[in-house]
Formats: sequence, C-alpha cells, structure tokens
Amino acid sequence: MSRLISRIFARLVKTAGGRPEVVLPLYHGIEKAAEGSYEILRQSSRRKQAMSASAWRTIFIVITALGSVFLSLTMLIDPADHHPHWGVLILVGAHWLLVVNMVVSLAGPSLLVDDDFLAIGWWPVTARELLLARLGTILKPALQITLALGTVPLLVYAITGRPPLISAVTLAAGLTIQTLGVTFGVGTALALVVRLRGRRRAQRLAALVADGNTFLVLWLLGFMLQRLHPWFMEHSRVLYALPLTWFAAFGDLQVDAFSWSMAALGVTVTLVMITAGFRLMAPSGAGQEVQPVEKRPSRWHYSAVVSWLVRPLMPGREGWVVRRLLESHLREDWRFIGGMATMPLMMGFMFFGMDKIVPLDLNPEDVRFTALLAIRNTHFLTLMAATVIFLASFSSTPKALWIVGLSDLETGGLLKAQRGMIRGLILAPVLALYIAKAAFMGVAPHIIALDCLVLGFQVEIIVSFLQPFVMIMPFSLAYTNEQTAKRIGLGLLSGAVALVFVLMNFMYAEFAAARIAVWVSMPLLLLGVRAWQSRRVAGRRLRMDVVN
Amino acid sequence: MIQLQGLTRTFDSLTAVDNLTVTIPAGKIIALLGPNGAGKTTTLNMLTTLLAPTSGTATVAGYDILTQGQDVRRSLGYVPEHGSLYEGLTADEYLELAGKIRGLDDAVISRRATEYMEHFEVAEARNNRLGTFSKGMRRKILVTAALLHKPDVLFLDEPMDGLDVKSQKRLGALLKKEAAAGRTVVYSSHILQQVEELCEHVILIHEGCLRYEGPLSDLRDSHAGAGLRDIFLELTDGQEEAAS
Repeated sequence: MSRLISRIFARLVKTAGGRPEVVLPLYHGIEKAAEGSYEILRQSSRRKQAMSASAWRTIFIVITALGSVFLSLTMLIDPADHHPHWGVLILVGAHWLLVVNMVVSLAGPSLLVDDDFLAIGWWPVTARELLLARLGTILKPALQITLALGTVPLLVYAITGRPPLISAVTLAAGLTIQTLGVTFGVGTALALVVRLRGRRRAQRLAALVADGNTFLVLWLLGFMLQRLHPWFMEHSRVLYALPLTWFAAFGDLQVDAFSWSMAALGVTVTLVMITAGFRLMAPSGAGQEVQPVEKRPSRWHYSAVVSWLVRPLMPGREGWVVRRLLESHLREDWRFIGGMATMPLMMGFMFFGMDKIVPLDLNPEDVRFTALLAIRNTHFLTLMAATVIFLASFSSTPKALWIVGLSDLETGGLLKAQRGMIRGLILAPVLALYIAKAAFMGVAPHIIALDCLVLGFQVEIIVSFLQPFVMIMPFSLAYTNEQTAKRIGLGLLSGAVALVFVLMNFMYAEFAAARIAVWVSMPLLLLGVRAWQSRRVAGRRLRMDVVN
Repeated sequence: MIQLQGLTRTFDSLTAVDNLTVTIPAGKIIALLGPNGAGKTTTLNMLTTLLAPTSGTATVAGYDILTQGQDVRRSLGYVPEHGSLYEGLTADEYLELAGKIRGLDDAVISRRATEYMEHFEVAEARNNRLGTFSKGMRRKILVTAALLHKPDVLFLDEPMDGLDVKSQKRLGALLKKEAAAGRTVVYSSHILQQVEELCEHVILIHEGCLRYEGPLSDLRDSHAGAGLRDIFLELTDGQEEAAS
C-alpha cells in the first residue's frame, strides 16, 4: 500500500472506530501472511511454479481494462442532450457489480470463516479492528479495479462529457466514493451476518460467496436487467433510485433534482456506513465465541444416499475411499456443497429459466438431428466438469487423509473414482435436466440419447485431459485465495476450451458430414487422452506432501 | 492475581465448567489439572476472553473478563493447545506483529524476540516461514509471542506438547524465572510429573467441578505421602470407581 493510500486508510480506520496503530500492522501482517502462504505453495509445487492470487487478480484487472474500452464507446455515441446518459449509467452500474463481486469473492470467505480469531483471538484487537484490517486487504484491489474500469471511459468523457472535463472529474469522485461505500457496505453486512448467525453458521454461509459463486448471482442479475430493459427505457428516472446507479448523477451534472437527491442519498449512506453503521455492526469489545461443542450428528444424512447412488460409478478400494471422503464433505464442508450445488442449479436456470427472459422461437427443423443448439449453453457442462476437479482437490480432510496417505492406493483407481464422482454429481444431474427439457420440447428420444452421448464424451475428454495437471489426492488442500483465483482462472480458460465444443456442437447440428466426423473422432480422442493420461501418471502417486 | 466467581459455561445440555470459584495468587506457577474433557481448556478460553461465560465472572490482573475484555487481553499472554498461526509469516514477522499490536517499539521487540528465541534455540530459523516449522518449534514461537510484552498473567494450555526433553527443561526454567519476576503462570496439563517439578499451587477440576484448590504440599500432606498420580486418580476417576 503506498504511503498516500496508507494515510487515507488510517483516516478511514479512525472514522470507522478502529485504532490505526493496531489495524495497519495487522493489515500488513495479513498481506505478508498471504504472500508467504503462496510462497510455501510455490515451493511445494513440483516445478516450483504456481500462479499467485495477485497474479490472477492482475489478469482480471487487465481484462477489465480491455473491456472498459467498449464502455468508452458508449460515452462517445450518446447524444449530448439526451437523458439519462446511458454510458454513465452503464459505467457506474458495471463498476458497482465488479467491486461487489471482487470484495465478496476476496474477503467474503475470510470474513465469514473468521480464521483470524483462531490465530490471534486473545490479542488486544477488537472484532472491529480485525474486520477493518481484512477490509484493508481488499481496498487496494477494489481501487485498482476502479482505476482499470474507469480510466479509458473517463478520458473519453473528459472530452464528450456534459460539461466536458468537469463531469469526468466529478464522475471519478463518484466512483471512488462508491468503491468505499461498497467495500465498507459488504464488510458491514458480513459482520452483521457473523453477529446474528454466530461463527459456526456464518462459516456455512461462506459457501455461498466462495470461489466466484457470487459472479453467477450477478450474472443472473444481468439477465434479469436484460428482461427489465424495455421497462427501464420508459421509466429511466427509476434507474437513479437503484443503489447500483445512485452515483450516476455525478457524471451527468444536468440531471433533475430527483437524480441528485439519489446521489446525495448514496453519499449519505456511505458516510453513515463507515461511521455509525460499521461501529454498530462490528463490536469494539472482546469476548467472541469459540466454536461450541457440536451436537451428535443424526443417524440419517443425505450424504449416505448420494454415496450409495454414485457407488456403481466409483468401484474398488479407491472408489470406496473417495466416497468416504465425499460423504464427510457433504456433511461438514458447506463450501464444497455450495460449489457443487451451484452448478446443476445454474444449468437448471439456463435450461428452464432463460426462455422466460429471452424467448425461444423454436422451429421443428432445429431439433431434427440434435437439440444441442436449440437447448442453449450446454457447453457450460464441460466448464463445470473442469472446475469440479479443483473443487474436490481443495477441500481438506486432514485426519482421514493421513490414513489414506499411508495405504497403497493405486493412482489410476483414484483418478477413475474421481471421474466417477464427476459423472455422478455433475454429469448425471445435468443430463437429467437436459433430457427433461428436450422431452418437454418434443425432441425424439433417440435424438436425446445421442445428444447425451455427445455431452458425455465431451465431459470425459475434458476431465481425462485435466486430471494429470492436478495430481493431488481428492480433498487434500486447504482453501486459499490462490485456490479461489485458480478456479476463477480455470473458469476463464475452460470458457475458451468450451468455445471449441460450442463450435463442435454447431457443426454437429448443421452438417451431416460433421456428425459423422464427431462420432468417429470423439471415441478416438477419448482413447487417445486416456492413453496419454496413463503414460503421464504411470509410476506416480498422487501428491500427499501437500496434504493440509 | 486471578479470581473466578461462580464461573460457568454450558454447551446445550453439557455443563463444561460448573460454578468455579477460585482465587489464584500472583507470582506463582499454578497447575490447572484434570482428566481429558474436565473443562480445563474451556476455563482458559473464558479467562482469555475467547469464550463468554454462561454465568459468573472472573477478574484477570484486576480486570473483569466481561466488562474489561480489552484490558484483560492486554495483561495476558496465552499459549493455546491448538493455536493456529499465520503460517505464511516468518518467525520474525509473526513476533514483530505480536509486539506491534501490543504497542512495543521495534527495538524492544527485536531484543526480546532474540532473547527468547536463543533461549529456545530457534533463532537460526527466525527467517523461515511458520508453515515449515515442526510442532515443537511452533510452540516455542507461541511461547515467545506470549511473553514478548511481559504480561502480568501467562496462560499455557499443554505447553510441553511437542517439545523434546531439552526444550521442556528450558521452558520449565523460563516459567520459573517469569514467576519469580512476579508473573502469574497458569499451566494446564495432564502430565503430572511436569506439574510436580514446576508448580507450587494446584487447581484440580473434574467434569467441570472444582475438586481441589491449594498448595501442592498441602495436597500431599492430606493424603499421607501418596504420589500425585494416586491422589489425582482418587479425586477424579477413583471417586467414580468408589461410587460404583
């Protein structure tokens, strides 16, 4: 943190009711600890290489900066006398969504899980100061994302603004205040959750905001806004009343009194949040609760049913071991459950909900050979299958693992069990949704069956290809920011790979020759990938030295 | 000095600590004894303000744990049984953080950290990350962090766990020195041999209830020269056996 930001942060800490002389060292300590953890991870990796969370963040910021060029176009094309200024509204709204997503993804799990409590719970640090130090670690990336998103559009707006230059300056000020408001707002909300629900239950809620899951929520919100777009066109003043565009008046100085009153409300809420709200929600005293004694678990639990259902897909001793680990995670690890549940839920929405937002105009000809194009976004399935490998790897079960680590489990069997788990937990539910949707659309059963086979092949190929890159025992590493960053990064990479499958599905749907090529090539490709995998893992054990 | 007044903590239907009323004198090493699950760690968690009591209260170094939590924390050092550390920090960075939070200046932190780390023979590893430390080395760093600000009261939960014989001896000597300097050392353990060597005063709890509190010598006298192990069994499991 530069000296200027440190001074601003110190002032904020004081305003929010913390002691800068305590919060600043704590903030630096947490930052150093995160860097050190990454260094330990890097040293433990076979090639002494690992991508740090900050490196992934930099990539994200660069992508944002590139994306902001498109936003700056909206600053150019907007007629000078038209209200509202859509470019400003889009910039302010996009900024709000991006900062919320970043703050929640980076700080949400650590704030809710409250690991610091176990490390320094008896030090003379108040819960509020601990929270402020954690918020400090995200203030810098939040400001960076503001800079990345805002610089180019603001430069353009300095010329095209109304009036030029001054409106760009006020809009920059508005975005900065919005950054602080959102950062402290999210922090206050999370502190309130921990306070109302207790640490144990708050930990479970962390599942909902981990690993970029919030991005999906925002993505769905984007679809909702798309649906509401025509209404907003007619009632544009309402836009200024939405929290995510409260600050839009800062960039359009000629808006009416109502819009300005909403901007004033935004500033007031931010100030109240930092001063009174934060003081109220995050206690200044000591006396936090440590985890209470757990009640005896009930005899019946759905994890046993899931384990029984996937049993045929996970054979042998290795399958048994991975199923036991899976059961324990389905009982205890809400972050794992959250990550797993999000995927079929998202696909369910894509298959059944998106038609309501973007109506589907289906021609019977479209589903004569396949429904892969008519039922949209099937390529997300491959993306999910890829991220599950990471999700399963980074969900530690230390006690069970040491026993597992000592046994002579076969690597091939473990990878097979992992594939079985993905088939059972991701592929099967999504295919069930697909079948239901296709049947509902009146697609012929044999076409549905062939489509399922195509999707099954695609998942098998992508999973078999990725497995050798994550040669870690399933459920062996603790969650870290690196893991979250890695999963988001993998999501981006898989998105690129998924494009290949989109193209394949398009060719498959449109051209008879492509269908033949797909049927010939996919089994061969799977056999090839499996053979390559066998060669890569031959004589190797899954890594146990990184068990955490 | 530490005073417990009807200190009680329940978890659902389980009473982990039941109405403890004890006065712990200053400048002594006091053993907090009891079998597994007796309520030792729960008691320490309440005295260190990590856990709020269900009823009753206590004062640590003259400060009330319910109303003066921050003052209590300022006055104590604590070595938890399962304390996690910021594993990405080096030993030096961790101790610097611990010292700064307690308002010590850099020179004092450096001098005291070096002194304790040399005492425990871990000074050479001071620039290594804690995530690479063995269990015993971590404990030595935790003890160093707990003593850095020269607290009035020092709580240790199974401090010898993971230490080799030589390190145990060094820690024992250090605790005696700290007690001689006027600090109150509360030492929770179930290893009776170490307790006999170090402690003058004993608090024995079983199933959350106080079974004995007083000088170790009085306890021995009242049991006609029996060993501490036999006395311990008589006051805990032995009673149950006798009752059955």
